[in-house]
Amino acid sequence: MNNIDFGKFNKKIKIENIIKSIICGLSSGIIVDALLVILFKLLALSNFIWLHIIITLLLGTGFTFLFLKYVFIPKDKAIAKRLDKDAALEERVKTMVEFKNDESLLANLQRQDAQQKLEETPIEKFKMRFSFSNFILSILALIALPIAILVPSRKINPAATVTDSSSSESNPESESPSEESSPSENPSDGGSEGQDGDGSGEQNDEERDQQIQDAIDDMKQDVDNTQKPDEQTKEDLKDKLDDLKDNLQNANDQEETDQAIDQSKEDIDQTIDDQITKDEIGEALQKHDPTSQVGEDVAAGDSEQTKDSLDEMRDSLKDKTGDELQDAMDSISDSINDALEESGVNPEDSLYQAFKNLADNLDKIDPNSDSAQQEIDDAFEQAKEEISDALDKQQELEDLKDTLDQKLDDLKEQLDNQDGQEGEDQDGDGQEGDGQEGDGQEGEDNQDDSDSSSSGEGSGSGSGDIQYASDDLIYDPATGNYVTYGELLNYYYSQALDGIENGNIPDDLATLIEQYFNSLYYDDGNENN
Amino acid sequence: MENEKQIALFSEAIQKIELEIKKDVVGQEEVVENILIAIISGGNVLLEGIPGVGKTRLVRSLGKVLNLPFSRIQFTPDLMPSDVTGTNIIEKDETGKMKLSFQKGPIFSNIILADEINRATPKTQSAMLEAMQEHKVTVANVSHQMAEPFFVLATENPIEQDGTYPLPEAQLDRFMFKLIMTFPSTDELKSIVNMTQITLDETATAVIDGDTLLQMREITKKIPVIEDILDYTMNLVASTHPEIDGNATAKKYLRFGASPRAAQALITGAKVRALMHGKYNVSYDDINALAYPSLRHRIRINYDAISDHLDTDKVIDLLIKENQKNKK
Repeated sequence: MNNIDFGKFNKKIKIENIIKSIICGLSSGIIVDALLVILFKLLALSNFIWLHIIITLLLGTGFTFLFLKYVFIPKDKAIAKRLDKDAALEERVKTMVEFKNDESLLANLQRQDAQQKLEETPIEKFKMRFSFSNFILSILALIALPIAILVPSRKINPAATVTDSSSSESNPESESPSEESSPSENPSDGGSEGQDGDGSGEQNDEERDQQIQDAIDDMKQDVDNTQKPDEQTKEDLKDKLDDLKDNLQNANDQEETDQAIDQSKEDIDQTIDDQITKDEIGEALQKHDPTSQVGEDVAAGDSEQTKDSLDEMRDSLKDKTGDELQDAMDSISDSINDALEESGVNPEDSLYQAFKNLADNLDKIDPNSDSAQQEIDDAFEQAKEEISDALDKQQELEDLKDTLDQKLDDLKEQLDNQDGQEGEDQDGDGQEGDGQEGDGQEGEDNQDDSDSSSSGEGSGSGSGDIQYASDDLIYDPATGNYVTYGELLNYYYSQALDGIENGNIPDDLATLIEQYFNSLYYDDGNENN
Repeated sequence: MENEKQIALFSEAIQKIELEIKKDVVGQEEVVENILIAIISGGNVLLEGIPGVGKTRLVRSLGKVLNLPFSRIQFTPDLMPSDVTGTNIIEKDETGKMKLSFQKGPIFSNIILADEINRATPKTQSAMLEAMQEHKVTVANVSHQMAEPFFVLATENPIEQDGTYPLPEAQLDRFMFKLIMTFPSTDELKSIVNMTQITLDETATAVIDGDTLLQMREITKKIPVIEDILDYTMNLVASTHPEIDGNATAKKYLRFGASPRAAQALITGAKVRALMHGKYNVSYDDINALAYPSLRHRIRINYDAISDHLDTDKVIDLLIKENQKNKK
């Protein structure tokens, strides 16, 4: 606002400008944040909604102040024009503004007249106005946000970045060939892409997959190595491990990897816990006097101690006959049956079955029979065997659970470390990876090696750290062109064979050379020959 | 130097004048207002109207209200310039010697009604117009100043065109306004008849005098006009010229446009009008209202306008509409 006092309209004018500033400020903040969302997505950074809300609010506030201070500064002349128009004051206010410094009598009278008319004008006559540009900015903000949300995130495919980032290496020529096999061998940087821990040439898909496969296979082996658990349980666990493998291979980032492993752990633990019933049965048995000691030992999972408890229980029946024996046996069997019912365990459970068999066997024994004691001994022997067997199985399952949990945690850590390393070496600076050169060819894949010819590149031999498909493009320094790996390999192989044929090379060396080249042809369905 | 009291009395005086004139002239409010504007502005008016609408009565009444001497000159084809301006006559002085003495003509008055000016010869018209322009008459190389305020209201008879000498454009341009007195409505006609049955004399009384009128003229000169309105006015006048690019209406309907005097008339008249209406500033409405009397005698429509049944006022309408985009 400049110098003129527009009386009661001042406040309305200020409010209008504040509203305009807020609309434009917030709209600008939203547009800028929408651009940030798109940028985050392109850079594969996490887009936390709370972060963007804060950014929008901060930007919006900042822009609002800027608009209020520098853009929507109400100018006297503009306000005067609007007042004259809205209130039909016949250019009184404009004249007052233009002649504000005129101190003549008529100018003063004019001012007084204008002020009086302003006073008489109801404030409602002055209409708040919002320009077309305010409206456009708001529309842009409303459009920008959904667009930003709908833009797909850039997924980091570890395998793809090997050649992708390498193609963005310093050599501009690297951009010309086809995308899928963008020349991963950039001679200027020693063709370092695809090497371990190298962001650009990071660990490729196969290596990671192999690592996952190895871990899964190891865990499956652990499952198979258990003896007591039944086959169905083992199959369930192995299925879950297969599911984990699939999930890990499809995971796009660390977060998804961790989520897959955590979920798998949960599933595996649940599967195993469903098989472990000693706690429920043990606790239920403890509630009854005749079986309390046995229950305690069962809950502890100690099969030896459980056997001893069963022996004690059996011994308590010795030297009893007739009704006394019957009562004692009934007491034991009733306690067992009640406890089993209270435990809520599936009747098909082996431990459940073992105790149930004991109770049933005791019920069948005629206390007055001569062979009662023998039958009691047999029943308890059977029970001891079955119960300890069941306990051992459950213990084995618990151990398996611990083992698998540990191995899953280890796998998680390994994969997290590798993902972290991937991010560090995006520039593909040619760190040498395992078996990079692998073959005695130049084998120098560091960046300093500017003349690293293709001979040392993309060897991918043996260790399999760098695997090239036959149609991956490789820079051929001899011709200065990019050729497929298969073509180049064939060329060098034929050169080698010619050399062998025409030169004086010992047979064993010739064999070695042939074997070497043969090793370069990997069986992945993309054999070069 | 104006003072607040004089300024405050201005509007009051104008209202009184209008009320007094209403006693003698029925209707014609716009004509009366514009005549007052012209008088206060120091301009002259060309009045067009059929006989009997009250032109002479209006001017006579005006003279009474303003307490200014009034004279009427009936222009005829045989009217000589000296009949207007006056002439030297030979007379004997006290000693018996012959001397020339200037006998003032009817033009030596404050308010002149030059009736049917288009009936006089161009020579006689020139004598009249010289006096209008310069407020003095030169006879035998001797200049005789007119009394101030000096106001000429010339009339043209639109009916009788035979044997007339229409004023050339250059002469028309000297009139500040051209006003048209239309035939009164039936109610107004009834009022006229009833009034004149009582008396044919003007009954208006004096309200102000010539000095007050001159003071009012000085006051109105100082009414502020903002730049936007000045620009708007200049653009309006410029838009009457068909030779200027961008003037679509003028190109289509006008033969020639208004002179700079039109702009002067508009601004000067608008200031008076503003004060008459109780304002201390000129508005766009003032300019638009005075566009018709200021421009209608300064522009000439062409055959396209005639064939489109447009008269001068309708073309001015179009010019005003075209010029709205220049409003800031």
